[in-house]
Order: sequence, then C-alpha cells, then structure tokens
Amino acid sequence: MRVLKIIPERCTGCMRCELACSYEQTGTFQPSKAVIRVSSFEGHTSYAPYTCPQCAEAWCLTACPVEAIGISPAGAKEVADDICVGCKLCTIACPYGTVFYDPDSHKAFKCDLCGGKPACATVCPTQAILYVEAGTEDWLASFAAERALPAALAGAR
Amino acid sequence: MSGAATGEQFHVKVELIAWATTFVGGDGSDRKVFEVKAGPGDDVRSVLKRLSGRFPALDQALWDRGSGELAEHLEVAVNDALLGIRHTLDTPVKPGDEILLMGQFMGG
Amino acid sequence: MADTTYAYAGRILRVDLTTGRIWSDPFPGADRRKWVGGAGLGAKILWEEVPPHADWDHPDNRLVMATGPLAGLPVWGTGGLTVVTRGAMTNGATNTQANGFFGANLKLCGYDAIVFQGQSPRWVYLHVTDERVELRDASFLLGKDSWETQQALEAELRLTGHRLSVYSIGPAGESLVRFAAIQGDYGHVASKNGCGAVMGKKRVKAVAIERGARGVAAAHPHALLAAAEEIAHNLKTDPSTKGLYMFGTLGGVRNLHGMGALPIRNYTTNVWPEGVDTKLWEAPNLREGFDHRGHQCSACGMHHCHMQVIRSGPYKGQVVDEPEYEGWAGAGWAIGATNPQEVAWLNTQLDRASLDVNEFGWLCGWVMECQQKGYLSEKDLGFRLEWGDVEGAGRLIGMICKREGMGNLLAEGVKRASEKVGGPAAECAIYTMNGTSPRGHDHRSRWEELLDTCTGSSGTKDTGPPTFPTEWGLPARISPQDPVPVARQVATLRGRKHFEDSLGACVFTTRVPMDILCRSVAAATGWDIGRDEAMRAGRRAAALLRAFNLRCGIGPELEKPSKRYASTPVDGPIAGVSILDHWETMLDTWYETAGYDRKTGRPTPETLRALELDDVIAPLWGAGARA
Repeated sequence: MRVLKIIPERCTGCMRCELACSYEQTGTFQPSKAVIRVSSFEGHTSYAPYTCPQCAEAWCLTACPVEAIGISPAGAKEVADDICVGCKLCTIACPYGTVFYDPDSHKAFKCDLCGGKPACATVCPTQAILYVEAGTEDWLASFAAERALPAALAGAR
Repeated sequence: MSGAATGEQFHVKVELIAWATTFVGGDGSDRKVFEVKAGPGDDVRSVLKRLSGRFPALDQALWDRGSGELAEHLEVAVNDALLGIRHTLDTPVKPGDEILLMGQFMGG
Repeated sequence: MADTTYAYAGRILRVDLTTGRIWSDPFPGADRRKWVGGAGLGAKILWEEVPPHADWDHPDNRLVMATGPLAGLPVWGTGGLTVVTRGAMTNGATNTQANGFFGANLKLCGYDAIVFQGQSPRWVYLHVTDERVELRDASFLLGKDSWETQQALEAELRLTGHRLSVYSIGPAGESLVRFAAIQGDYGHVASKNGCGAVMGKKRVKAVAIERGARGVAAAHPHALLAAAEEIAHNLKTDPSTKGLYMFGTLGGVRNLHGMGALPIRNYTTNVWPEGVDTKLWEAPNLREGFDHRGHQCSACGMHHCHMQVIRSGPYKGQVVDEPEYEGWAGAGWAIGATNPQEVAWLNTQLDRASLDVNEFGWLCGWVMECQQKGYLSEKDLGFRLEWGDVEGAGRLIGMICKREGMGNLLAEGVKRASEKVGGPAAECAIYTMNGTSPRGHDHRSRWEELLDTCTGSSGTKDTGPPTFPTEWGLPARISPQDPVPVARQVATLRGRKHFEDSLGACVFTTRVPMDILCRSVAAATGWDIGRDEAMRAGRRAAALLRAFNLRCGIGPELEKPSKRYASTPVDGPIAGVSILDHWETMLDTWYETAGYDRKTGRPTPETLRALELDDVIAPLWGAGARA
C-alpha cells in the first residue's frame, strides 16, 4: 500500500498542507480542521508536519466501542461518521495525538489519505510530504479484510 | 575600427556572470566566457544573436518575441558601460570589445 | 462562513487606545470590491479619518494593519501585512509591507484588518483570538527587542511556531526613532516611513494573533487551487522570476554591481573595493556560506526567506535571518562592510531593534564618510567609526535606540541629522526632500526608482521595478538612463503595486502576468475581475494616498532628490552620467502619463473621475470644480 512519508528536514513551515487538508475535510480553508499539523522545533528555526501514520496496530480502531473505525480501500484507518458516537475514546487511545474530535459535529475525525490522493502531498512546495509505496506486514491483509468498510460507505466521504 | 575597415575577422569577448550563466548551461554562479567571431558590419546586436543562436535558453531570455529587441530579463554592458550610455545594440563592434550579460535585478 | 464574504472575513477590527474600546465594523461587499484590502483599504481610512492637523504623532492618526483577499489561501506567499498610516519620516502617507503569517492568522480569527486610533495611557499589546480581543499590559515586554518580544509572548500565551503571529516594535519604536519599523514572525519587517514610531507613540508594543479556528472560503476553490499552481509554475519557470524562486533576492548584489547600482560607501564609488572576494557575494555562495533552513511565509514555496547560522568570525553560532538584498546593501555595502558573516549579523540586529535597514545604511554611511572627511569628530560621536566597522555600527544601533549622545540626533534620520550638522556634511546625505528613504540601491543607475522614490506618496517607492511592461503597451525593456521612456514606464505601471499591496500577498509571488494574478483573485472572491479593473483599483489607492499627502501640505515642491542622492557617479558602468540634466523633462512626462497636474501635483479631475474618486475632486480642487 501507499503511505505518507514525511521528510521533516525539507519542511519550511509554510503550512500549505494544513490549508489543503482542511479544504478536503471541510470545503473551506480552515486549518483548525486539518488532520495534518505542522509543529515548530528549536524555537522558530525548524518545522515538521505530522499526521496519522496509519499504524498497523491501530489502537484507535481497537479502542472504538462501536466499530466506527475501519480500513478504507486506500488503506487508511477511517471514521464512519454515521456510526461514530463521539465518545472520544479513539482520541485518547491514539499514541500520536492524530485522531481529533470536532465539537461542532460531535464526531471523531482523522486522516483518511483523501481516498488515495492526499492533498497535503500534492500541495507541499518542497516535497517534504510524499505519498509512496511501502511494504506491509502479511497479517495486515486479512486484518484489513475483516475490518474493511463496505465500499459504498468508504466512497461516501 | 581599423580591423573592421580592412575586413579582418576578430573576436569579441562575451561574458555571462552569476545568474546569467544558467542560460548557457551554468549553475548560476561564477562566469562563462565566450569568444564570439565578428567582422566588418557586425554590431552589438549581431554578436549577441550569434551567441544566442547556440543556446535556446539564452535566446529566449535575451530577446523579446514581439519586437525582436532586448527582453527585460538581462542587462547588457559594453566595455563596462551599460547599454544606452556609450553603445546601443546598433553600435559596430571592434577588436577588443567586451560584452557583459547579467541578470536583471528585481525587487529586494 | 457566510458565502457572501468569499475570500474575506468581512469584519474590520477597531481599537481605540485612548478609551480602551474595542469593536468591529463590517467590511461591506461594495467596499471590498472598490478598495480590495491592504493598501486600498488603508488609503480609504487615512483619507476619511485622519485630518490634516493630525500629525504622525497625534492620537487622531490611524495605524492600519490590513491584509487582503488572498491571505490565508493556498496561493504562495499570502500571510501579507500592509501597514498604512501617517508616518514619521515624511509626516505623510505610508504604504509598507511584510509577510510571515499575520494575514493568514488574522483572517482565521475573523478580521481583514486592525485599525488603531487614539493613544494608550500605558504600554499595551493587542491579543487577538477567534473569540476574544484584548488590550493587555505590556510592561513585561518593554525594552525587549522584537525577537525577544515574540519569544516572551509565545511563553506567556503557551503557543509555538505559527500558532501565534507576533508583530512588534523593538527598542527603536519605544524611543520614537523616526525610522523605527514593525517587525514580525522572526525576520519580516514593515520598515518604511517610521511606522514603528507611530506604533510606539500609540504605546502599542505588539500585536499577537493566534491561528484562529475560523475558515476562509473561496468562491471557486478548485479554480483557486489551479490558479495557485499556475502562479507557482510561472514563478519557477519564467526567466524573470526563476532566480528569485531559487535564491530570493540574493542575486541582487552581483547584478547590481554590474549595473553600477550597488551603493558602495555612501555613494562614493560604484566599484568593489580591492581585495574583496566577489565570489562570496554570488547568490549560491551567499546561501551556502551559512548553515540554513527555509523559513517560509504562509503557503509559500519560494526559496526565499531562510534562517541561518553564522559560520565564522566574532558572531559564530548565532541564529540570524538570511538578509534580503536590502540587508546586504544597507548593513553591508552602503557602510563599506564586505564580510557576509558580519553583515548577516548586523542585519539581524537591525531587525531585532526594528529599524529600517535602508535608512540605517544611509545614516551610518553618512557618519562614516563625515568622520573620514573630518566633518564629524571622534568627540561628536564618542568613538571612531571607520568604513566597514560592523561592531561600531552595532554600537550606533544601541545609541540610536536609546537616543544616547549623538544617537538622539541620528534617531531623527539622515535628512534631519545632516541638515542640523550643516556645512559640507549636509551635502553627503542620501534622502529625498519629502523625507522618504530610498531603498538600498544606487539609484543614480536606476533612474526609474529615483524618480519613483521622489514622486511617490507612500514613504518609499510607489511603482517599484517594472513588472511585465509589455502588458501595458510599453517596450519590454528600455535603457535605464533614457529619461522619457523611464518616466513613461514608471507612470504607466503606477497602480500595479498598489493592487498587489491590497491582496495580502507578497510582492515577489505576485510577480506573474496580471491575467494569471487576476484569475486567482477572481477564483477567491467570485468577482469577474480582469487586469483593467485591477489596475484601476491600484491607481485609485495611489491617487488617494497622493491626495492625502497634498491635503497634509506635502506637494510637488518636495519631489526632489538630495544633492548626494542625485550626484554624478565618479566610476563604474555609468560614470559621468547625471539624472539632473533630465529631471524636469522626466517630471513632465511622468505627470502627463499619470494624469496628474504638473503645477499643483494633484490628480486631475478627469483622472479622479475615471478612478471613481468623484468625492475627492471638491476637497482637492475646491468646491467650484466640476464633480
């Protein structure tokens, strides 16, 4: 599967990924709703984006009591809005802090790899965010099949 | 002038510095120097045309498509004086002349 | 977001410092289209709200910190701040820009501009979030330079990086130094016409804007993303911008020297001094001579702004922001300093103290020349300041910021200081008669900018370097010393920069064909705006700023260079050529082309009418004039 590969030393902190991501999420340029975030390090001298690594052992997915988090055809752990009850357990379970809660919609939200065309990678002017092929563990395939979202549901986002 | 009058061939030194070198395959630093052949009847324009004929990127940067005059991207100096002071494009060249091309400056 | 405010927040934040009252006014649709934002909006506010008796330091002066429709959107370089005020150098209009994240953060908090009026009884900073705006006590920030101020506010508000955009004044603005600047986000400076002194007089130490949770909607987001990519592609590939894309303005030093436009040692020569390693001054070497990392403005992909670490010499290990060309000139060549490592240090000291680097270069160069020639003694200044003495220049910064000893006089800028000292010293100073500081080139070889600086109404250049002149029927290039074509070019292109300065975008990323730029504005706003409307909007702002200056008594009699500024170069590529032989001819052409009256300096009633400034005709020409 393809994953987002982040090369922090290329990031210049322009935050364009946040703008593009939020547009995919909400239809407006609203970085507070972005699921990729740029952090600063060493004061103001360096920056790096971070987002959901789509980890194999997805604690968000296993923590969800209503099975609202599945695996999309693009391989992303994805929240099904109509199932999510807004309990925030996934946001607590995630060790990376990359599952978010939207107080307006009362739902969890996270990176869904834009259905296989991640906007952050498209717009990054310095190629600090790449969308590249990466090997997966064998067991993931069966795990994915078991928890995969119905295709229709995945396409609805 | 004597060289031109007697019909002898000579060379005009054309130097591109810094950013201008990118139009002749350089990396934007240092300089590239060309000895361009010239003879009687040659002027600054024909010498530059002869050089830019060898480098499509230079041709594109140096000349304005519409008017055939210089485009806005490069500055030209002849014998260390900017074009327009002691020389124009139509001034005849003579042995020992040196033409300098440099990037136009913008902003800052 | 309400759809009717595409590309705008739709509100203008108003702060009365005298009373502490904070409110917001709507920025209605008709005003948005007419004034766009930034320079246009600022010009309107200045004209309508600042009466002639309200000098730069009067409480009735306004300090407008505005952004525009492209800020916060994915077009490159769109964190833009435009400062419009009545400035301390000319006591007239100011239009000066910086970038960083000001504009993006402000719109995400729900505002298109901040307008300060009045004068605070105590030092304050303005804290802006998407829910709340507060004036807070700034006593803990006093005396701090602008980088320290930003760090202190990050700690106070517990935010890092671009989650907080801070624009502040350093010690210079606190001391009302006439060329004090407003600096923000580590290295971005709105530097012209003493806007930092205005902020200091109002006792506002800083503006701290959080990255709010609101959004900015585009009317046609897909078209906007496409236009943003088109702009990026153009910047990366066009011969005129490719160098800028790769190295920012670093290429300027080498190119300008070739043109005789590098200002060396206070305009006393145009040739590199012996023994200078000129290779160090080529763009790639200036970049790679330091450990560096990109430090871009909102949504920008230019390889322009960088943070760097000084690699050698007395300042080794210090973090500085990579100087712009203007920094290499003002903190370097103008004062005879030729070691990039030292110049980079001095440039950042100026940013941190928040002084205009151009004016400092002319001032410090003047002091150095005057000492060399014996016009100023060691005793006058308190120490010996030789050409290229960077440490001494640093000491001068401290004296100016504290107004200590001769620093008190120097804090008034080189025009006033040289007039006060008088004698032969008065003839060595670089300035214009209306008080504008020229930018950091030798304009004796750039006649377009010398004319532009003298005729401008913004405390700096108005038109700027020519951008795609063929779009307006002008030749692609002209000889920089051909008087009539130069004047025609400056006046014909007048307005384009004011439009760019109204967008909340950077002057470098808007350097694309006008049609492409307009496509991005149209996609963002939903307007069917083309280049003619855009140019009209820019010319409207330019004419109104000029009308403001005329109303303040700043007229055409002051549109002159100082003696040194227009002197004849003694060496280099334009040795012996003088602009003064052609000055009146150039003004004739400029006025006629701009549609302004040569005698009074006023935009003609026809010009004002064509720019939909009918209500400016009577105030400018008298009630009898036909509106």
